[in-house]
Amino acid sequence: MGESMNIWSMIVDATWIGKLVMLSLFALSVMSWIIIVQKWIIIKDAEREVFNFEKLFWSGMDLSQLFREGTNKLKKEDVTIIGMENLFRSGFKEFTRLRQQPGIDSDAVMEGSQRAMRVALSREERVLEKHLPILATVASVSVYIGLFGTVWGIMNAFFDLANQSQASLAVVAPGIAEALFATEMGLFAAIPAVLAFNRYSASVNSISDSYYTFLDEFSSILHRQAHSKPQESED
Amino acid sequence: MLSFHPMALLLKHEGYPPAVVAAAFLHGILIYFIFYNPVMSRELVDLDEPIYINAITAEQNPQRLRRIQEIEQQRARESEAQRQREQDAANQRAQEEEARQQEAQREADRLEQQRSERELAQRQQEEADAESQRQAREQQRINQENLERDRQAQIDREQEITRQAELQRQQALASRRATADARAVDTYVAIINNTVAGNWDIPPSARNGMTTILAIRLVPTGEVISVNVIQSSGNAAFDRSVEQAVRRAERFPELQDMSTTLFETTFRNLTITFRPEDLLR
Repeated sequence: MGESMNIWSMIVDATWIGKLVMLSLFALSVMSWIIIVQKWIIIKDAEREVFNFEKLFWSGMDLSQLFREGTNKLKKEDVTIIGMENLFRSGFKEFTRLRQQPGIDSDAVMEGSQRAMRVALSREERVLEKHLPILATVASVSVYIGLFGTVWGIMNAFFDLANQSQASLAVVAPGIAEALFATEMGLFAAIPAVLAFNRYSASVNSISDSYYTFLDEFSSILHRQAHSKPQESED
Repeated sequence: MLSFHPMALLLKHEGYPPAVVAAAFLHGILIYFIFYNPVMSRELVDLDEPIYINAITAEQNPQRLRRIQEIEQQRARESEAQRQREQDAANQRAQEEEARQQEAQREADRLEQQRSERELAQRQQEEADAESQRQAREQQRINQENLERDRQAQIDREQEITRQAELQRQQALASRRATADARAVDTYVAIINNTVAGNWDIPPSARNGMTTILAIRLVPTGEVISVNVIQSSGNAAFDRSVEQAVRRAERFPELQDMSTTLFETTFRNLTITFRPEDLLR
Protein backbone atom coordinates (compact mmCIF):
# COMPACT_ATOMS: atom_id res chain seq x y z
CA MET A 1 0.00 0.00 0.00
CA GLY A 2 3.01 2.22 0.47
CA GLU A 3 3.52 2.46 -3.24
CA SER A 4 0.13 4.03 -3.94
CA MET A 5 0.36 6.44 -1.04
CA ASN A 6 0.39 10.09 -1.97
CA ILE A 7 -0.97 13.24 -0.45
CA TRP A 8 -4.07 13.30 -2.61
CA SER A 9 -5.13 9.75 -1.79
CA MET A 10 -4.48 10.55 1.84
CA ILE A 11 -6.84 13.50 1.67
CA VAL A 12 -9.47 11.42 -0.07
CA ASP A 13 -9.20 8.64 2.49
CA ALA A 14 -9.38 11.01 5.45
CA THR A 15 -12.28 10.98 7.85
CA TRP A 16 -14.90 13.65 7.29
CA ILE A 17 -13.69 15.62 10.27
CA GLY A 18 -10.20 15.51 8.83
CA LYS A 19 -11.56 16.72 5.49
CA LEU A 20 -13.46 19.52 7.21
CA VAL A 21 -10.32 20.63 9.02
CA MET A 22 -8.25 20.59 5.85
CA LEU A 23 -10.92 22.43 3.89
CA SER A 24 -11.35 25.17 6.47
CA LEU A 25 -7.60 25.59 6.78
CA PHE A 26 -7.33 25.89 3.03
CA ALA A 27 -10.06 28.52 2.99
CA LEU A 28 -8.37 30.44 5.81
CA SER A 29 -5.10 30.30 3.94
CA VAL A 30 -6.67 31.68 0.76
CA MET A 31 -8.39 34.43 2.71
CA SER A 32 -5.27 35.42 4.60
CA TRP A 33 -3.26 35.56 1.39
CA ILE A 34 -5.82 37.80 -0.30
CA ILE A 35 -5.57 40.14 2.67
CA ILE A 36 -1.78 39.92 2.76
CA VAL A 37 -1.43 41.00 -0.85
CA GLN A 38 -4.14 43.64 -0.66
CA LYS A 39 -2.68 45.17 2.50
CA TRP A 40 0.76 45.08 0.95
CA ILE A 41 -0.49 47.13 -2.00
CA ILE A 42 -2.29 49.62 0.22
CA ILE A 43 0.52 50.05 2.71
CA LYS A 44 3.24 50.35 0.08
CA ASP A 45 1.19 53.03 -1.64
CA ALA A 46 0.69 54.90 1.63
CA GLU A 47 4.41 54.76 2.44
CA ARG A 48 5.32 56.02 -0.99
CA GLU A 49 2.78 58.79 -0.70
CA VAL A 50 4.17 59.89 2.66
CA PHE A 51 7.68 60.02 1.25
CA ASN A 52 6.68 61.89 -1.92
CA PHE A 53 4.36 64.35 -0.25
CA GLU A 54 6.76 65.23 2.54
CA LYS A 55 9.42 65.96 -0.05
CA LEU A 56 6.99 68.13 -1.99
CA PHE A 57 5.67 69.89 1.11
CA TRP A 58 9.09 70.83 2.48
CA SER A 59 10.44 71.85 -0.91
CA GLY A 60 9.41 75.43 -0.07
CA MET A 61 6.51 75.43 -2.49
CA ASP A 62 3.70 77.86 -1.84
CA LEU A 63 0.92 76.10 0.07
CA SER A 64 -1.95 77.44 -2.00
CA GLN A 65 -0.08 76.43 -5.12
CA LEU A 66 0.25 72.93 -3.67
CA PHE A 67 -3.47 72.87 -2.96
CA ARG A 68 -4.30 73.96 -6.52
CA GLU A 69 -2.06 71.28 -7.98
CA GLY A 70 -3.94 68.70 -5.94
CA THR A 71 -7.25 70.05 -7.21
CA ASN A 72 -6.05 69.81 -10.81
CA LYS A 73 -4.95 66.24 -10.18
CA LEU A 74 -8.38 65.41 -8.79
CA LYS A 75 -10.05 66.73 -11.89
CA LYS A 76 -8.29 64.10 -13.95
CA GLU A 77 -10.11 60.83 -14.06
CA ASP A 78 -10.18 58.31 -11.20
CA VAL A 79 -7.34 59.52 -9.04
CA THR A 80 -8.01 59.57 -5.36
CA ILE A 81 -6.02 61.61 -2.93
CA ILE A 82 -4.94 59.68 0.10
CA GLY A 83 -2.83 59.92 3.17
CA MET A 84 -0.83 62.96 4.07
CA GLU A 85 -2.01 65.01 1.12
CA ASN A 86 -5.57 64.30 2.17
CA LEU A 87 -4.76 65.67 5.64
CA PHE A 88 -3.19 68.73 4.13
CA ARG A 89 -6.13 69.36 1.80
CA SER A 90 -8.84 68.99 4.40
CA GLY A 91 -6.93 71.20 6.89
CA PHE A 92 -6.08 73.84 4.36
CA LYS A 93 -9.58 73.89 2.85
CA GLU A 94 -11.15 74.42 6.26
CA PHE A 95 -8.57 77.07 7.13
CA THR A 96 -9.18 79.18 4.02
CA ARG A 97 -12.94 78.76 4.31
CA LEU A 98 -12.99 79.93 7.91
CA ARG A 99 -10.64 82.82 7.29
CA GLN A 100 -12.86 84.15 4.51
CA GLN A 101 -15.68 84.55 6.98
CA PRO A 102 -15.59 88.01 8.48
CA GLY A 103 -15.23 88.55 12.20
CA ILE A 104 -14.00 85.15 13.10
CA ASP A 105 -11.06 85.02 15.46
CA SER A 106 -7.84 83.16 14.72
CA ASP A 107 -8.21 80.62 17.54
CA ALA A 108 -11.50 79.46 16.12
CA VAL A 109 -9.95 79.18 12.66
CA MET A 110 -7.15 77.06 14.07
CA GLU A 111 -9.53 74.89 16.01
CA GLY A 112 -11.74 74.27 13.00
CA SER A 113 -8.90 73.33 10.66
CA GLN A 114 -7.35 71.04 13.28
CA ARG A 115 -10.66 69.27 13.77
CA ALA A 116 -11.00 68.75 10.03
CA MET A 117 -7.49 67.29 9.89
CA ARG A 118 -8.15 64.95 12.83
CA VAL A 119 -11.24 63.59 11.11
CA ALA A 120 -9.27 62.98 7.92
CA LEU A 121 -6.51 61.36 9.96
CA SER A 122 -8.80 58.90 11.67
CA ARG A 123 -10.31 58.02 8.28
CA GLU A 124 -6.85 57.34 6.85
CA GLU A 125 -5.93 55.21 9.83
CA ARG A 126 -9.08 53.18 9.43
CA VAL A 127 -8.22 52.44 5.81
CA LEU A 128 -4.73 51.33 6.79
CA GLU A 129 -5.81 49.13 9.68
CA LYS A 130 -8.76 47.53 7.88
CA HIS A 131 -8.57 43.68 7.81
CA LEU A 132 -5.47 43.51 9.98
CA PRO A 133 -7.47 41.85 12.80
CA ILE A 134 -8.47 39.10 10.36
CA LEU A 135 -4.81 38.35 9.79
CA ALA A 136 -4.24 38.19 13.52
CA THR A 137 -7.19 35.80 13.91
CA VAL A 138 -5.98 33.51 11.13
CA ALA A 139 -2.51 33.55 12.61
CA SER A 140 -3.64 32.38 16.01
CA VAL A 141 -6.63 30.18 15.16
CA SER A 142 -5.40 28.13 12.21
CA VAL A 143 -2.69 26.55 14.36
CA TYR A 144 -5.34 25.35 16.78
CA ILE A 145 -7.55 24.02 14.00
CA GLY A 146 -4.58 22.12 12.63
CA LEU A 147 -3.82 20.78 16.09
CA PHE A 148 -7.40 19.65 16.43
CA GLY A 149 -7.16 17.76 13.15
CA THR A 150 -3.93 16.16 14.28
CA VAL A 151 -5.27 15.00 17.61
CA TRP A 152 -8.34 13.63 15.91
CA GLY A 153 -6.28 11.79 13.30
CA ILE A 154 -3.91 10.26 15.84
CA MET A 155 -6.83 9.20 17.99
CA ASN A 156 -8.32 7.42 14.98
CA ALA A 157 -5.00 5.80 14.22
CA PHE A 158 -4.85 4.38 17.72
CA PHE A 159 -8.41 3.11 17.45
CA ASP A 160 -7.40 1.31 14.27
CA LEU A 161 -4.40 -0.08 16.08
CA ALA A 162 -6.54 -1.33 18.94
CA ASN A 163 -8.87 -3.16 16.57
CA GLN A 164 -5.97 -4.96 14.95
CA SER A 165 -4.72 -8.22 16.37
CA GLN A 166 -1.28 -7.69 14.93
CA ALA A 167 0.12 -4.22 15.47
CA SER A 168 2.05 -2.96 12.49
CA LEU A 169 3.25 0.37 11.25
CA ALA A 170 1.18 0.01 8.11
CA VAL A 171 -2.02 0.16 10.12
CA VAL A 172 -1.29 3.44 11.89
CA ALA A 173 0.84 5.15 9.28
CA PRO A 174 -1.98 6.54 7.08
CA GLY A 175 -3.85 7.92 10.08
CA ILE A 176 -0.75 9.59 11.46
CA ALA A 177 0.19 10.98 8.06
CA GLU A 178 -3.30 12.45 7.76
CA ALA A 179 -2.98 13.87 11.25
CA LEU A 180 0.34 15.48 10.52
CA PHE A 181 -0.97 16.87 7.28
CA ALA A 182 -3.59 18.78 9.26
CA THR A 183 -0.87 20.42 11.35
CA GLU A 184 1.07 21.17 8.22
CA MET A 185 -1.92 22.95 6.68
CA GLY A 186 -2.42 24.90 9.89
CA LEU A 187 1.19 26.07 9.88
CA PHE A 188 1.01 26.81 6.18
CA ALA A 189 -1.85 29.21 6.86
CA ALA A 190 -0.53 30.59 10.13
CA ILE A 191 3.11 31.41 9.39
CA PRO A 192 2.52 33.94 6.57
CA ALA A 193 -0.34 35.45 8.53
CA VAL A 194 1.83 35.98 11.60
CA LEU A 195 4.68 37.45 9.59
CA ALA A 196 2.39 39.72 7.62
CA PHE A 197 0.50 40.85 10.68
CA ASN A 198 3.64 41.83 12.53
CA ARG A 199 5.15 43.52 9.54
CA TYR A 200 1.99 45.43 8.62
CA SER A 201 1.25 46.56 12.17
CA ALA A 202 4.71 48.05 12.37
CA SER A 203 4.26 49.76 9.01
CA VAL A 204 0.82 51.10 9.90
CA ASN A 205 2.21 52.42 13.18
CA SER A 206 5.06 54.22 11.52
CA ILE A 207 2.77 55.67 8.82
CA SER A 208 0.27 56.99 11.32
CA ASP A 209 3.15 58.36 13.39
CA SER A 210 4.26 60.37 10.43
CA TYR A 211 0.65 61.50 9.91
CA TYR A 212 0.52 62.80 13.48
CA THR A 213 3.86 64.53 13.12
CA PHE A 214 2.73 66.14 9.90
CA LEU A 215 -0.51 67.24 11.54
CA ASP A 216 1.43 68.99 14.30
CA GLU A 217 3.88 70.59 11.90
CA PHE A 218 1.18 71.78 9.54
CA SER A 219 -0.86 73.10 12.48
CA SER A 220 2.08 75.16 13.61
CA ILE A 221 2.45 76.63 10.12
CA LEU A 222 -1.26 77.46 9.99
CA HIS A 223 -1.04 78.88 13.49
CA ARG A 224 1.73 81.20 12.44
CA GLN A 225 -0.29 82.38 9.45
CA ALA A 226 -3.49 82.80 11.43
CA HIS A 227 -1.89 84.95 14.08
CA SER A 228 0.70 86.91 12.13
CA LYS A 229 -1.51 88.30 9.37
CA PRO A 230 -5.02 88.14 10.65
CA GLN A 231 -6.56 90.46 8.04
CA GLU A 232 -5.10 88.93 4.89
CA SER A 233 -7.25 86.58 2.93
CA GLU A 234 -5.43 83.97 0.90
CA ASP A 235 -1.70 83.76 1.03
CA MET B 1 2.30 62.06 -11.80
CA LEU B 2 0.51 59.44 -9.74
CA SER B 3 -1.49 57.96 -12.59
CA PHE B 4 1.62 56.92 -14.53
CA HIS B 5 3.07 54.97 -11.69
CA PRO B 6 2.68 51.17 -11.97
CA MET B 7 1.12 51.16 -8.52
CA ALA B 8 -1.88 52.98 -9.96
CA LEU B 9 -3.01 49.87 -11.78
CA LEU B 10 -2.71 47.74 -8.65
CA LEU B 11 -4.57 50.29 -6.59
CA LYS B 12 -7.87 50.05 -8.42
CA HIS B 13 -10.68 48.69 -6.23
CA GLU B 14 -8.43 49.00 -3.18
CA GLY B 15 -6.02 46.44 -4.57
CA TYR B 16 -8.37 43.48 -4.24
CA PRO B 17 -8.22 42.06 -7.80
CA PRO B 18 -4.45 41.57 -7.85
CA ALA B 19 -4.62 40.22 -4.30
CA VAL B 20 -7.17 37.58 -5.29
CA VAL B 21 -5.13 36.64 -8.36
CA ALA B 22 -1.95 36.28 -6.31
CA ALA B 23 -3.62 34.15 -3.63
CA ALA B 24 -5.25 31.93 -6.24
CA PHE B 25 -1.92 31.46 -8.00
CA LEU B 26 -0.13 30.54 -4.79
CA HIS B 27 -2.73 27.98 -3.75
CA GLY B 28 -2.88 26.65 -7.28
CA ILE B 29 0.80 25.81 -6.94
CA LEU B 30 0.06 24.15 -3.61
CA ILE B 31 -2.72 22.01 -5.11
CA TYR B 32 -0.49 21.12 -8.04
CA PHE B 33 2.11 19.73 -5.65
CA ILE B 34 -0.51 17.83 -3.72
CA PHE B 35 -1.80 16.22 -6.90
CA TYR B 36 1.33 15.45 -8.85
CA ASN B 37 4.03 14.73 -6.34
CA PRO B 38 3.56 11.28 -4.86
CA VAL B 39 7.33 10.97 -4.39
CA MET B 40 7.29 13.60 -1.69
CA SER B 41 5.43 11.52 0.84
CA ARG B 42 7.08 8.30 -0.26
CA GLU B 43 10.53 9.52 0.67
CA LEU B 44 9.42 10.76 4.03
CA VAL B 45 7.94 7.38 4.83
CA ASP B 46 11.04 5.59 3.61
CA LEU B 47 13.30 7.40 6.04
CA ASP B 48 11.53 6.07 9.07
CA GLU B 49 11.09 2.44 8.17
CA PRO B 50 13.00 -0.01 10.33
CA ILE B 51 15.46 -2.49 8.94
CA TYR B 52 13.56 -5.19 7.20
CA ILE B 53 14.66 -8.59 6.00
CA ASN B 54 12.72 -10.90 3.80
CA ALA B 55 13.05 -14.38 5.15
CA ILE B 56 11.40 -17.26 3.40
CA THR B 57 11.53 -20.90 4.28
CA ALA B 58 11.98 -22.23 0.84
CA GLU B 59 12.97 -25.82 1.46
CA GLN B 60 11.52 -27.67 4.36
CA ASN B 61 13.68 -30.75 4.84
CA PRO B 62 12.91 -32.36 1.49
CA GLN B 63 13.37 -36.06 2.40
CA ARG B 64 10.96 -35.89 5.23
CA LEU B 65 8.44 -33.97 3.20
CA ARG B 66 8.62 -36.58 0.48
CA ARG B 67 8.12 -39.39 2.97
CA ILE B 68 5.08 -37.72 4.44
CA GLN B 69 3.66 -37.33 0.99
CA GLU B 70 4.30 -40.99 0.21
CA ILE B 71 2.59 -42.08 3.37
CA GLU B 72 -0.40 -39.94 2.60
CA GLN B 73 -0.64 -41.29 -0.92
CA GLN B 74 -0.37 -44.85 0.37
CA ARG B 75 -3.13 -44.21 2.84
CA ALA B 76 -5.33 -42.69 0.18
CA ARG B 77 -4.74 -45.66 -2.11
CA GLU B 78 -5.59 -48.11 0.65
CA SER B 79 -8.80 -46.43 1.60
CA GLU B 80 -9.80 -46.28 -2.06
CA ALA B 81 -9.15 -50.01 -2.48
CA GLN B 82 -11.08 -50.76 0.68
CA ARG B 83 -14.07 -48.86 -0.56
CA GLN B 84 -13.84 -50.61 -3.92
CA ARG B 85 -13.82 -54.00 -2.22
CA GLU B 86 -16.81 -53.17 -0.10
CA GLN B 87 -18.76 -52.00 -3.06
CA ASP B 88 -17.90 -55.15 -5.05
CA ALA B 89 -19.05 -57.33 -2.19
CA ALA B 90 -22.29 -55.47 -1.91
CA ASN B 91 -22.92 -55.79 -5.64
CA GLN B 92 -22.19 -59.49 -5.57
CA ARG B 93 -24.49 -60.02 -2.66
CA ALA B 94 -27.26 -58.22 -4.47
CA GLN B 95 -26.75 -60.36 -7.61
CA GLU B 96 -26.74 -63.59 -5.67
CA GLU B 97 -29.87 -62.55 -3.94
CA GLU B 98 -31.59 -61.89 -7.19
CA ALA B 99 -30.44 -65.18 -8.69
CA ARG B 100 -31.67 -67.06 -5.66
CA GLN B 101 -34.99 -65.35 -5.92
CA GLN B 102 -35.37 -66.29 -9.55
CA GLU B 103 -34.33 -69.82 -8.77
CA ALA B 104 -36.87 -69.99 -6.01
CA GLN B 105 -39.51 -68.63 -8.27
CA ARG B 106 -38.77 -71.18 -10.92
CA GLU B 107 -38.71 -73.94 -8.35
CA ALA B 108 -42.02 -72.82 -6.98
CA ASP B 109 -43.54 -72.78 -10.43
CA ARG B 110 -42.27 -76.24 -11.15
CA LEU B 111 -43.53 -77.62 -7.86
CA GLU B 112 -46.88 -76.09 -8.33
CA GLN B 113 -47.20 -77.53 -11.78
CA GLN B 114 -46.20 -81.01 -10.57
CA ARG B 115 -48.48 -80.77 -7.66
CA SER B 116 -51.37 -79.60 -9.78
CA GLU B 117 -50.81 -82.39 -12.21
CA ARG B 118 -50.49 -84.94 -9.44
CA GLU B 119 -53.44 -83.72 -7.46
CA LEU B 120 -55.79 -83.06 -10.31
CA ALA B 121 -57.64 -86.18 -9.36
CA GLN B 122 -57.95 -85.20 -5.72
CA ARG B 123 -60.81 -83.38 -4.27
CA GLN B 124 -61.14 -79.74 -5.13
CA GLN B 125 -61.61 -78.69 -1.57
CA GLU B 126 -58.45 -80.42 -0.48
CA GLU B 127 -56.61 -78.96 -3.34
CA ALA B 128 -57.77 -75.48 -2.55
CA ASP B 129 -56.76 -75.86 1.10
CA ALA B 130 -53.34 -77.15 0.30
CA GLU B 131 -52.86 -74.54 -2.32
CA SER B 132 -53.83 -71.69 -0.03
CA GLN B 133 -51.58 -72.99 2.75
CA ARG B 134 -48.65 -73.38 0.46
CA GLN B 135 -49.19 -69.94 -0.98
CA ALA B 136 -49.32 -68.41 2.43
CA ARG B 137 -46.08 -70.10 3.39
CA GLU B 138 -44.47 -69.01 0.18
CA GLN B 139 -45.60 -65.49 0.76
CA GLN B 140 -44.21 -65.51 4.25
CA ARG B 141 -40.87 -66.76 3.05
CA ILE B 142 -40.65 -64.04 0.41
CA ASN B 143 -41.61 -61.41 2.91
CA GLN B 144 -38.93 -62.56 5.24
CA GLU B 145 -36.36 -62.50 2.53
CA ASN B 146 -37.32 -58.97 1.58
CA LEU B 147 -37.10 -57.87 5.17
CA GLU B 148 -33.68 -59.39 5.53
CA ARG B 149 -32.48 -57.67 2.41
CA ASP B 150 -33.77 -54.32 3.54
CA ARG B 151 -32.07 -54.65 6.88
CA GLN B 152 -28.78 -55.50 5.25
CA ALA B 153 -29.00 -52.48 2.95
CA GLN B 154 -29.80 -50.25 5.91
CA ILE B 155 -26.75 -51.45 7.78
CA ASP B 156 -24.58 -50.91 4.74
CA ARG B 157 -25.83 -47.38 4.35
CA GLU B 158 -25.21 -46.54 7.98
CA GLN B 159 -21.71 -47.88 7.81
CA GLU B 160 -21.03 -45.83 4.72
CA ILE B 161 -22.31 -42.66 6.43
CA THR B 162 -20.21 -43.11 9.54
CA ARG B 163 -17.17 -43.84 7.41
CA GLN B 164 -17.71 -40.65 5.43
CA ALA B 165 -18.15 -38.59 8.59
CA GLU B 166 -14.97 -40.02 10.02
CA LEU B 167 -13.11 -39.15 6.85
CA GLN B 168 -14.38 -35.60 6.90
CA ARG B 169 -13.49 -35.18 10.54
CA GLN B 170 -9.96 -36.32 9.87
CA GLN B 171 -9.61 -34.00 6.93
CA ALA B 172 -10.85 -31.02 8.94
CA LEU B 173 -8.45 -31.88 11.73
CA ALA B 174 -5.57 -32.11 9.30
CA SER B 175 -6.33 -28.79 7.67
CA ARG B 176 -6.75 -27.10 11.03
CA ARG B 177 -3.43 -28.47 12.12
CA ALA B 178 -1.88 -27.23 8.87
CA THR B 179 -3.09 -23.65 9.35
CA ALA B 180 -1.97 -23.66 12.97
CA ASP B 181 1.40 -24.87 11.80
CA ALA B 182 1.61 -22.17 9.17
CA ARG B 183 0.85 -19.52 11.75
CA ALA B 184 3.45 -20.90 14.12
CA VAL B 185 5.97 -20.95 11.28
CA ASP B 186 5.24 -17.29 10.57
CA THR B 187 5.75 -16.37 14.20
CA TYR B 188 9.03 -18.21 14.52
CA VAL B 189 10.30 -16.84 11.21
CA ALA B 190 9.49 -13.33 12.47
CA ILE B 191 11.43 -14.01 15.67
CA ILE B 192 14.42 -15.25 13.73
CA ASN B 193 14.20 -12.23 11.42
CA ASN B 194 14.20 -9.78 14.27
CA THR B 195 17.07 -11.44 16.06
CA VAL B 196 19.18 -11.56 12.94
CA ALA B 197 18.30 -8.01 11.94
CA GLY B 198 19.37 -6.81 15.36
CA ASN B 199 22.77 -8.39 14.90
CA TRP B 200 23.24 -7.20 11.38
CA ASP B 201 25.90 -4.54 10.73
CA ILE B 202 25.16 -3.39 7.25
CA PRO B 203 28.39 -2.72 5.37
CA PRO B 204 28.71 0.63 3.61
CA SER B 205 28.87 -1.07 0.24
CA ALA B 206 25.42 -2.62 0.66
CA ARG B 207 22.78 -1.45 -1.80
CA ASN B 208 19.06 -1.88 -2.02
CA GLY B 209 18.06 -4.97 -3.91
CA MET B 210 21.11 -7.09 -3.09
CA THR B 211 20.02 -10.62 -2.36
CA THR B 212 21.86 -13.26 -0.39
CA ILE B 213 20.34 -16.63 0.43
CA LEU B 214 21.62 -18.50 3.45
CA ALA B 215 21.05 -22.09 4.46
CA ILE B 216 20.99 -22.44 8.21
CA ARG B 217 20.98 -25.66 10.16
CA LEU B 218 19.40 -25.58 13.56
CA VAL B 219 19.06 -28.07 16.40
CA PRO B 220 15.91 -28.32 18.55
CA THR B 221 17.45 -26.24 21.33
CA GLY B 222 17.50 -23.36 18.86
CA GLU B 223 21.23 -23.27 18.35
CA VAL B 224 22.70 -22.56 14.94
CA ILE B 225 25.11 -25.30 13.96
CA SER B 226 26.00 -24.19 10.48
CA VAL B 227 25.55 -21.28 8.11
CA ASN B 228 26.19 -21.50 4.39
CA VAL B 229 25.75 -19.03 1.60
CA ILE B 230 23.64 -20.69 -1.07
CA GLN B 231 23.34 -17.75 -3.36
CA SER B 232 25.76 -14.87 -3.19
CA SER B 233 24.76 -11.27 -3.78
CA GLY B 234 27.98 -10.69 -5.68
CA ASN B 235 29.30 -8.46 -2.93
CA ALA B 236 31.59 -10.41 -0.61
CA ALA B 237 31.36 -7.91 2.21
CA PHE B 238 27.59 -8.07 2.13
CA ASP B 239 27.60 -11.87 2.16
CA ARG B 240 30.00 -11.89 5.08
CA SER B 241 27.90 -9.39 6.99
CA VAL B 242 24.73 -11.46 6.75
CA GLU B 243 26.60 -14.63 7.62
CA GLN B 244 28.09 -12.86 10.63
CA ALA B 245 24.65 -11.64 11.64
CA VAL B 246 23.36 -15.20 11.87
CA ARG B 247 26.48 -16.43 13.63
CA ARG B 248 26.29 -13.63 16.12
CA ALA B 249 22.64 -14.44 16.83
CA GLU B 250 24.01 -17.88 17.75
CA ARG B 251 20.85 -19.21 19.31
CA PHE B 252 17.10 -18.67 19.03
CA PRO B 253 15.86 -19.84 22.44
CA GLU B 254 12.23 -19.39 21.41
CA LEU B 255 12.48 -22.41 19.13
CA GLN B 256 12.61 -24.70 22.14
CA ASP B 257 8.88 -24.29 22.68
CA MET B 258 8.11 -25.57 19.22
CA SER B 259 6.62 -28.99 18.58
CA THR B 260 9.10 -31.56 17.33
CA THR B 261 7.28 -32.31 14.09
CA LEU B 262 7.13 -28.65 13.16
CA PHE B 263 10.79 -28.27 13.89
CA GLU B 264 11.71 -31.30 11.82
CA THR B 265 9.60 -30.28 8.84
CA THR B 266 10.53 -26.64 8.71
CA PHE B 267 13.31 -25.43 10.91
CA ARG B 268 16.02 -28.03 10.91
CA ASN B 269 17.16 -26.82 7.51
CA LEU B 270 16.11 -23.22 7.11
CA THR B 271 16.66 -20.93 4.16
CA ILE B 272 16.78 -17.20 4.75
CA THR B 273 16.80 -14.55 2.06
CA PHE B 274 18.45 -11.26 2.91
CA ARG B 275 17.29 -8.33 0.84
CA PRO B 276 17.66 -4.85 2.33
CA GLU B 277 14.94 -2.58 0.98
CA ASP B 278 15.25 0.54 3.04
CA LEU B 279 18.81 1.67 2.58
CA LEU B 280 19.21 5.28 1.59
CA ARG B 281 21.38 4.48 -1.39
